[in-house]
Amino acid sequence: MMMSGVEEAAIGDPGSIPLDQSERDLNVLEGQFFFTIDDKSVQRVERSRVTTNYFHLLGIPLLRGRLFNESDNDTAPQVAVVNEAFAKSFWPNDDPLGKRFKAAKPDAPWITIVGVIANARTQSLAQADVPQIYLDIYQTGAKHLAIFIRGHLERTAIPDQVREHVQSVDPTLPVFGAQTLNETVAASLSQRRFSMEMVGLFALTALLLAGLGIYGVISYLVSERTHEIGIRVALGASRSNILRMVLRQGLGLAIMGAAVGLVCAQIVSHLMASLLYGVRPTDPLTFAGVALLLIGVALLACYLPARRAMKVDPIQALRVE
Amino acid sequence: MIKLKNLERSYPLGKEKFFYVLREINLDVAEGDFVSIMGPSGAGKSTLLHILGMHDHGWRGEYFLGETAVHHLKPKERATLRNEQIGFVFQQYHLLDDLTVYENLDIPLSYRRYSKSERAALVADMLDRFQIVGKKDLYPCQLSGGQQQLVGVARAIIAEPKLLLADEPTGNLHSSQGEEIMELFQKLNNEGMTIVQVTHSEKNASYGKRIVQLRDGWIMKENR
Repeated sequence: MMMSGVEEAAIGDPGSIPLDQSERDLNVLEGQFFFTIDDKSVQRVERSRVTTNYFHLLGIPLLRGRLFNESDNDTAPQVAVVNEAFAKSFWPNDDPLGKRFKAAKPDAPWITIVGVIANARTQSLAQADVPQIYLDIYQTGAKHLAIFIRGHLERTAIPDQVREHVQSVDPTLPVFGAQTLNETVAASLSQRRFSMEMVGLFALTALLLAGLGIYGVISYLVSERTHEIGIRVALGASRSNILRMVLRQGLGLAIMGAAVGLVCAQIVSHLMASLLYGVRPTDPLTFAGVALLLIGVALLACYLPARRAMKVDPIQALRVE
Repeated sequence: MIKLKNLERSYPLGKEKFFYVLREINLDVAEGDFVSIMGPSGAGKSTLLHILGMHDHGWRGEYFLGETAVHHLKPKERATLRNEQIGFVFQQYHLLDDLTVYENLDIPLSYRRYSKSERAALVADMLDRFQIVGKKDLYPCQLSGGQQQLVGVARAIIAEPKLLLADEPTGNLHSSQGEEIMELFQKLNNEGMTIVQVTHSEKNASYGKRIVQLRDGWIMKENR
């Protein structure tokens, strides 16, 4: 009997939970399959055991062949669905359908590939092309199960409703750890988010210090040039001439600093590559944006001393010498 | 050219108390005139000159420059008028130390509506007129006091003002250099330029056509 509000359900082993870091570690340990292709390359492949609904529920389309069906029971030869990355890795110029593989254990059965699905970011948000094998959970079984449900449900009611349904079959089965997919994604990003927040905090501090530094330097230069500014005003400079002169000086410093910063960033940005998603370490748009932001902050920092310079009284300035 | 009516300049000393630097100044300066303002220190000479030069805006009264009522103009309009009609020579030259003679002469032009080629032509003409072509790439510190003031005068008249104001132009020069500058002023005046100078020196004042004596902010007498 289907729970109310549930539109679709699937079952898998804990390794099939998308982006779940802890379970994935477990899966890596359990699921390290070693393949020897042409006696030269050894590659690790992620393995999950799922029911056929899993693919539709997660929106992963079938590209070739078929998904699991009712004839794939525990007495039938084992079958597998693989993703496109797996197919391209091992049979780049060949059709993977009908190909067989097995685990590197003496009594492991041969498994036949019956379908190819599209790549999906189930192991890492950064990488969609991780080679992956999906086995039929009805053929292989699993000690722990993950239940996937999709539909319109009250978030807080899900654990109790699922527990009630599961325990109606076997009251001794423990049911725990309910999470929405959004929560799973957020949890998988938590470490990156923390790193990003720390980097952002440092960057903001650096920006503030840079702004204060430029403000200090330009303030000092303006006070040093008060006499000169007085002469220039006496010789015909307007307030806007003086404003432009001071801002130009600050802009010169800022452009020089931004140029040096860009060169340094080019050199060290690859160290941040592992923290980036969807953007290259040397992304020109990001570099240009940051440089413009810094120049903007520099101009802002110059504006206050520049305004002070605009108000220089030529009579006072000329008398000071 | 200049008409001052009841011009006063004061600074607040406290509640409703003022210190008057200039009092009821009434002065006419005709076009082509050469006026020397004399008086002891603190008489208000430089203040009067800075008011005429429109550097000081805190005065009361009426000031006409030509047909223009300066007292009705806003500071920005006064600055425009000053740029069009007035040149200023300072006692301490006030050349910009990190600019060459050529660049110093170019400064006033850079703040007026001249094209780059016009500016170059005017600077070249001025260097030639003052016979300082050979010094165009030198910095002020490489010039004598007389040469610096020569550049100062050249800079003051390069934008072709009708009125030249000079605040003790020979105050920092020895006598022969001072004479050279005063002869230059006389030459400029003979060419039609109106000049108002502040000076302590009777000799320098004698180069002008009129002397105005100031005492404690009042005009005491005028000599022709």
